[in-house]
Amino acid sequence: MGKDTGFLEFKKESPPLRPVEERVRDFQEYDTFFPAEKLERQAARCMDCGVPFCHMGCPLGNMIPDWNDLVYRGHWKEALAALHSTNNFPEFTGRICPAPCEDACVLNEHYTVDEAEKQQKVNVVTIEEIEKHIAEQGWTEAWIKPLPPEKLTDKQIAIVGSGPAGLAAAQQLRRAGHAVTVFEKDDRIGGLLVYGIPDFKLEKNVVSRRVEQLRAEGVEFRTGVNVGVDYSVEELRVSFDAILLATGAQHARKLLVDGSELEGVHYAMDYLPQRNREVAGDSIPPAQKIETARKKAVILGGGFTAADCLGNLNRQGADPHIHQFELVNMVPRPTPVHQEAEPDCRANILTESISNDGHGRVKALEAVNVEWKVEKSESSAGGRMTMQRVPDSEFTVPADLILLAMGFLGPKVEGLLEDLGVELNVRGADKTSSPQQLIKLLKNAQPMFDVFADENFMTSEDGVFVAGDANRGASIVVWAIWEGREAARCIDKYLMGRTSLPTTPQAEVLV
Amino acid sequence: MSFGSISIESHETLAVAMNRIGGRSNSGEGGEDPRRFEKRDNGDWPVSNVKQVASGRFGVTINYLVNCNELQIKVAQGAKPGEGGQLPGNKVSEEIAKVRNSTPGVTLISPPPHHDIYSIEDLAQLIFDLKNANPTAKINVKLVAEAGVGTISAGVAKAHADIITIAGHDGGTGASPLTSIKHAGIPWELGLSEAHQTLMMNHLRGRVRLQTDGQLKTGRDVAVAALLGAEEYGFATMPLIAIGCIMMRKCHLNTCPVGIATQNPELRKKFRGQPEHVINYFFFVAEELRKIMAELGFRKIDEMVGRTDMLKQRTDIKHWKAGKVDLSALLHQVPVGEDDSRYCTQEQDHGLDKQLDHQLITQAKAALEEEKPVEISLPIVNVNRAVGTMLSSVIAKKYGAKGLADNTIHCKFNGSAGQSFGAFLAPGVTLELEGDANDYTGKGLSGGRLVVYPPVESSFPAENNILIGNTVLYGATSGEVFFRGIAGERFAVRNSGANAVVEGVGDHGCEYMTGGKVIVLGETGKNFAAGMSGGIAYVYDEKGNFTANCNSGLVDLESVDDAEEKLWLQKWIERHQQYTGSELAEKLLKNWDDVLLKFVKVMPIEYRAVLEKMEKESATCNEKTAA
Repeated sequence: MGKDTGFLEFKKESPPLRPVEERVRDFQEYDTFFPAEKLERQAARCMDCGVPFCHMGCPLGNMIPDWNDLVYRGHWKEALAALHSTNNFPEFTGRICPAPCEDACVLNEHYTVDEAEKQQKVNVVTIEEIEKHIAEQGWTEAWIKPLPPEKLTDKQIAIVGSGPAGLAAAQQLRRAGHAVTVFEKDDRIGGLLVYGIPDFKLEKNVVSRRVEQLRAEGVEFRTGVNVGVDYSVEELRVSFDAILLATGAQHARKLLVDGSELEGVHYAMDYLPQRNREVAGDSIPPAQKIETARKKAVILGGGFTAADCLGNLNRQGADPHIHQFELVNMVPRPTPVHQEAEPDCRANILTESISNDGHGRVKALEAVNVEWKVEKSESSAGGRMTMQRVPDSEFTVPADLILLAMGFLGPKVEGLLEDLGVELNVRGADKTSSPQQLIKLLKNAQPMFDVFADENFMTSEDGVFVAGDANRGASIVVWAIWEGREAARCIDKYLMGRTSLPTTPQAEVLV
Repeated sequence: MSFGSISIESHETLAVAMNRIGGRSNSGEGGEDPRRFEKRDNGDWPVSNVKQVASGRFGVTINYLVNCNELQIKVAQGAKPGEGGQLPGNKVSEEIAKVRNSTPGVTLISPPPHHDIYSIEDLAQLIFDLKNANPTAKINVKLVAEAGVGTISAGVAKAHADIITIAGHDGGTGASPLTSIKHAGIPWELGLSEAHQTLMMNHLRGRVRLQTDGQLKTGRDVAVAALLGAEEYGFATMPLIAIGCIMMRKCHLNTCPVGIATQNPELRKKFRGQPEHVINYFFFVAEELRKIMAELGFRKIDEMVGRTDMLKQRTDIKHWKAGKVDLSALLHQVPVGEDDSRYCTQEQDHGLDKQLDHQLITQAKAALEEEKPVEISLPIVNVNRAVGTMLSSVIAKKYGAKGLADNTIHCKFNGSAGQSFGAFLAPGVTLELEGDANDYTGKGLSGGRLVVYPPVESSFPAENNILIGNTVLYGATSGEVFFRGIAGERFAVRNSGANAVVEGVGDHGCEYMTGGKVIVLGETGKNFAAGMSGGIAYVYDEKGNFTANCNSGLVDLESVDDAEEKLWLQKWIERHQQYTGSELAEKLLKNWDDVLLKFVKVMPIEYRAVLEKMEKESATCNEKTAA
């Protein structure tokens, strides 16, 4: 548990970030590392609570007090084993997870009384730091080895999508003895981990070394294969005993205003992967390249994707006065990248239109402040949020680059999902929709949707399963890993009649 | 949940809440700061209206006993059955030590049994003693649910308990080893139905109120408890959760992060509970209970008590083990005879009207009303039990803990005193007895003085004969006693502040003592000073065989070296001689220098460390002020 009085004796300490002037000049991670003794002292602050709220906060049910105690006593190898028992990829979550475990930590939730201090997690046990260090120690000391299965089954499983959900499922299913083939439409393995999340949050060698472990365990990877286009659904169904859809939620919310088609307006998911490629050394054809140097940029959206855009833009030499506008009443979440530029972050901003410079390119963005009120509603118990423009609050911002990071509605439906015919849940509808119905609906509306699945992660099609953002909507990596692990368990049970793959306490609650 | 296991803030919050809604909160076995007996300016009343008398007798003075409307004898506790409590030394802060009449930093151990309850008759005596100490309070006996609790309840009812509490195996205790909590005890439902049915079958049910507790949570739990036979319902865990407990299970480490089960002042600042939280919780419980009562067709709780015909065993549980459970014994309905009742309909007759103290109180009127000294002389026989207790109750109610000036009321008795002679005697009262006394003499002594010596015309050597009974001075907190003769077993057990001079003791002398000074002028029995963690004993070891008789687990044996101490010892033996005419004392004083060399000082190790620390701190304090 760490030391009884650790939380009274030691204050929370995190390793310092690299200085701003230094880190904006490259795309390497801005986190630094602690020496082991300092981290052991941080681990001593854990109280091993009688009711471990961190377990419930963490979707994976990470056994946090256990490995905190092991780290405190210097037993790093055992800590790694405890960590791996619930989390396939601790080096990913240790870097980019927003740490719901820390939000739930008793030292934050109950021991800290002041609301502002709670937000800043002033007293929390530095769980994510400890997780990252345990994983990195594992790689440095070469404790992390491939664990290929001893006995093989005769089952073939296809996983479409190599993001964290697909990879987690792949590792679990391979270790259960099945033949696993992961299809990835892009040229690199990792999904959003490689094409989306910036390098300065997650360096890509971190991903590739884990992929190597999976490869050594016998997982087959087929990159550059867009299932549904390059590889037909019929062939998929014939060649494999079970199929797992882990294609993510890449259908972006559109901006439907005048001027949104102008040159200089880009979706975040067209910009960010391009950045990853450039950092990796790929060359981008000039026609596709999104120019950013010295541009005056506006980012629409207040979440992680928007922050990723901001960090990249700043490092590319865009004008540091980057505007970041959020529609709802939540100021864009401050992250380390916000300290690197001079951003103008505002909430309650509605984009009215984008104006043309006369040559088909973006010149400015016209917006207005809005107010959100709760209105009593028959359909919703708490009432509905309605938006009203605040009179005389229109303003214009000059811009020659607009990035749209306004969230994602669900998975891409055309192609694979359409051909499979899996039913989809649409927000606000009573029944599921077929892919055709949804495609028609999306021509005129922008509801949120995901693939329908039962409590065993199986879609409306027998033998076809879904996990990750495609199942639950755009979410965070730790949930993706949870999805992959749980779906793997269900697939194993489906194929073999029973399974010894683990589940989590969350599964009992949610599924 | 005693103050000690939980913080003063949480303890007072619970008390204020319960006093507001007409319930009662329990002091636990930690004693109580007298400041809580008064209402605050804003009307909040933080007194615990149930005062617990547990085996440790911590803080149980006459002033403690009179400030409540219920006295609970904790025979055992459901959450740690068969065991006493332990408060680790690191949780015994200054405040706690003061309230428990002990020393800061010294571990407080409650012995498993009450040393004045070895039989049902002993329990009847204790009930009687407490009733004398606070004649308006109800006496509650807390039993643990176990097979056989029915028989015990019947005995307890006959022993004139007003309320019997059946405690189940769940629930809270602030500092118990896991082996005491897990897989020990049985659920309250089993104990309650057995107790209720046994009392019914023996036509005793109408004389007592039955209470139950053991992690009761909801209105439904209360309904089931009522239908199984309970009229009162105790809660501890849930109100604590209402004021912020998050079940950290770190109570024993004193690191409770929400300021409830800790004495650390920094952590206590985190406490966010309010009486309103508790009141809100009980409001919901009552509302749910009301709903269930309405569904069942009951208007009053009294109608529900014992109506097991409104309960039936569930048949929907599909677990294979559930099929083997037969609850029909629990649901058995004992027929209600003509003069019987399912719930309490008559008060117990405690027999207080026959007490000798009524005469004492009448004759001491001038002292009680005007603090004038009085002298009283009366014969005494052994049916006069708890002599001096009701008198002390009157003094405490009027004069509080400080009582009257020394020797304001001087009573001289001739004859054989009954049990509990001078129990809970208040300051200002001296009882002088020429004759002999029985068990529990000086029990709970609260500042008064007892002097006992054999009849002056007797020819036997007083120092070789038994004068008083067993378990003398049990739980004494202050005062002084002079016994010219030998005491029985467990002399000064759980003494936490009284001084005594006696001419010999039986086995287990000074057991679990935490304070006070005891001088033994003759032989001790074996196992002297077992569990003694405070106070000092001086034994005149003439034959040189004391070491073999002493339990040196917690104590060191030393000689008396300090000049001041030597004078003190001499003075007290002189006083003993003056009060009792002791020939032994006279003889010893004549040869004082040689006698001194044969005195053994029994010094508890933990206590010495604490005293040395206090001396050092006051020395540095003096240095600082000097500098």
